[in-house]
Amino acid sequence: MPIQCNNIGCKKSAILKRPKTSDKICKECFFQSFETEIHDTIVKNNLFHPGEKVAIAASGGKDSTVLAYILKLLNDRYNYNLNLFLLSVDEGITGYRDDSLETVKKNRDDYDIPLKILSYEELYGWSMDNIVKQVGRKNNCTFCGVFRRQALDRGAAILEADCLVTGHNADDIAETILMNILRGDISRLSRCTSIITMGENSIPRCKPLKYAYEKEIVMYAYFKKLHYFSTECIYSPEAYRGYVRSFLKNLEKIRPSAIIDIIYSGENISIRDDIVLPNRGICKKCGFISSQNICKACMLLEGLNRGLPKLGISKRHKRCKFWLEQCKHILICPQGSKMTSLGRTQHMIQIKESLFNSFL
Amino acid sequence: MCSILEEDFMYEKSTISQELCKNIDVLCKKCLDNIAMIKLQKKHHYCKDCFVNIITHKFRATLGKTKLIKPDDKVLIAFTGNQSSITLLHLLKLGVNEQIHKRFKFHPVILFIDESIFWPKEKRMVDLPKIMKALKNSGFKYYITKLSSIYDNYTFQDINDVNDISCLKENESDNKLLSLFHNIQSDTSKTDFLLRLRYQIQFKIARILNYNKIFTAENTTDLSIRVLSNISLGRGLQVSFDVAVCDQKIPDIYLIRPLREITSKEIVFYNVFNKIESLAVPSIFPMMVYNSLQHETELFVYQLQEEFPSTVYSVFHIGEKLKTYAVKENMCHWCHNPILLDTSGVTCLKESMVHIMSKYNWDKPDDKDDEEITNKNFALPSLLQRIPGYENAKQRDIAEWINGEIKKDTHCGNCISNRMTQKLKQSLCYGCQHILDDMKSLDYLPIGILHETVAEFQANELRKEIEDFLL
Repeated sequence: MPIQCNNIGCKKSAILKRPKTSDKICKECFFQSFETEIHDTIVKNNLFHPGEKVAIAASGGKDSTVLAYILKLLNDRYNYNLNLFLLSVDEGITGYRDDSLETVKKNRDDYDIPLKILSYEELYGWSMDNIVKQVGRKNNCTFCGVFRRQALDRGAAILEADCLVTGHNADDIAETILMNILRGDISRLSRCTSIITMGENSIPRCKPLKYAYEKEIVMYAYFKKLHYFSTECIYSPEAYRGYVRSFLKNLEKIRPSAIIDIIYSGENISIRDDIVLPNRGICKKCGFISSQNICKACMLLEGLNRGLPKLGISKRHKRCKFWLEQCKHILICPQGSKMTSLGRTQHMIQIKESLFNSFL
Repeated sequence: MCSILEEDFMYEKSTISQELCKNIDVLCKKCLDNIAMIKLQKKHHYCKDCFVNIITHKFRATLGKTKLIKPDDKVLIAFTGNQSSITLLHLLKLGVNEQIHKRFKFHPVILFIDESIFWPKEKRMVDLPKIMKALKNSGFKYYITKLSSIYDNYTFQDINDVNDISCLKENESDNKLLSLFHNIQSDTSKTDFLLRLRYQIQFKIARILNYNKIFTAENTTDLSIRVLSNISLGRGLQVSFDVAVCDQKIPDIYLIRPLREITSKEIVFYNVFNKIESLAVPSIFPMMVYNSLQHETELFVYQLQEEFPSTVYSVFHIGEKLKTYAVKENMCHWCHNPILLDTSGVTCLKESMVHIMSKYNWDKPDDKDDEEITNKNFALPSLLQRIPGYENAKQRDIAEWINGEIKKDTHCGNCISNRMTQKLKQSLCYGCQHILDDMKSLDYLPIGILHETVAEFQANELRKEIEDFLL
């Protein structure tokens, strides 16, 4: 016997169980509640203001496809009065990105939203394929991630957008919270949950799908028959994140509300007042947001261009050692061999910074 | 790197012997003299003596840093019988018998809470006598009580009289406790509730015996698991309390964790080197909890720890860097942690989720689940009657209140009791609300827990009435 939809007023038979609440409901009621929840998230957090230009970071995957579809839908339904754009980054990964860009182009035609594509090639002079040839398969995700973050900022600046929206879903946020705890990264832990991030003179970013479960997004795309691209990147995914992901999936299996509970915990965490967090400033070289003097993207790029790809990814003391060896001939150690190891490290850092300044 | 689970001691021995062989010709990092016996965190090699010294030092340093223990203090030691608590006893015994200038000047007294009603019968027969032997051999004075004593009104004399496990006969309270846990539907909530209940009993007994300091034997590994599982239970706000050296949720009692800087691996090595016999007591009750978030987290941490040996420390230190709230007014009545009244994020989401559902959801179809929900709601008034003093002054107030509610809301009978549950919910923190949601019925809730809720509820109601006249 078919189960009746839990929402009374609707006489249809239920065809799905909502992953978030375990309610058995019909297709229409699911659409209704999913969309309304995202609408509520947008309204209650004041994500947008009328007349704004909003750039949607589109990868062609399920999250960004559903995000683009739903923003278009809500914009029409509730008269947000937004000017929507799709913004894609072409990392230059053959067999992965070129296919997914086709999906984005199809989205552009289907939803009638203009699209802007930026490539690593034109921004940095390096495609991911070339980077992998240089650095090997091990740390290439660092390059891709760092470059993409900045590429999106640059793209949004080119489009003169007021706001950049990304398709991070509840699972992603919960995963990031757990990752930051496991790595002991307190400063990221405190800011990874905010739904809207703003820098001094950078474009605000927001995550309207913050409370939407990954499973529900897939379900939504499936029932709405949305086209999305679902192949994993051909360069290996991050191993550590893999552990955390499967842990989170196990938790969700035991108690579906666990994901929301983790986000709740993350939102309520506050750091002791006496702990100093790194300041977020601006990169001296490119002017984009950075927590260091010179941002990670510039550092990585410098490394690539000088044929020293390990420059940005190895640990600080190793980097210092490396610099020390590079410039042995100009190095005059003031105290000679009597220096303590701490003094030596500080000396090395000084040298490194002066070297970097000479590059600028 | 060996992963040591407290449960199986056989496994430990094999891994330890493997590890011992591997490091046969490495010198100890500390004394640079002896051959190292163990390797910690994949890189630190120590010989037996240096290692034992380090552990003893860590323990004494942790205690010293608190600056809370004064000479002639009486301290209650919460003993559970697991590896860490045996280590704690051993360390205390050493400290009390030290040379005069290093000797501990406080007086430890052991409190053993018997949780054996959750164990299988054969295990009870074998392990309880072992624990009794350990208690008698420890050389300290000890008290014994049962988990179900949360229902009983003990006096100092009652607890003092019990000096052997055989004195604790099965009684009605045991059945109540079993029914209470039977009513909790998910393993996660069972485990969580047991943890909170343990604290409640420790506090209760400490008050009866007039102690204001309790030592618990939680180690770094336990605490980092606690941090992670609390995060996934929505108890993020409480993380800092859970790892603090001194947990002062309750103003009159200090809960101190002297083993918090020692990992479970170090504890096992310490016990092996000192030839301390393991009692093989399960850390939590065995058969029921395998489908819980806490157990999953435990497995995850142990698994990750094998590959990345700094995991436990990173997680533990995150807990240390978080703020401790000192909200006196809004305390959860079950776990004594602060309740946050926020209007952002998830709270909002929950509201809107309910909102969407209720648009369509005036009446629910009659199926089995809902029947249970209804029963649960109706259980509350009967529960109120069990509270002492209810018959007198409070009865009239509550009865009036209920009548008032009925008049206000004639829509459906459920709504009144629904609102009562709602009120109870408001006095709980986000994490404890989950436990309440998982309970089929509130019938066997200990009165102590409820009493505060009702008292507070009364106070609030009264306050509302006179609110207009308050300046």
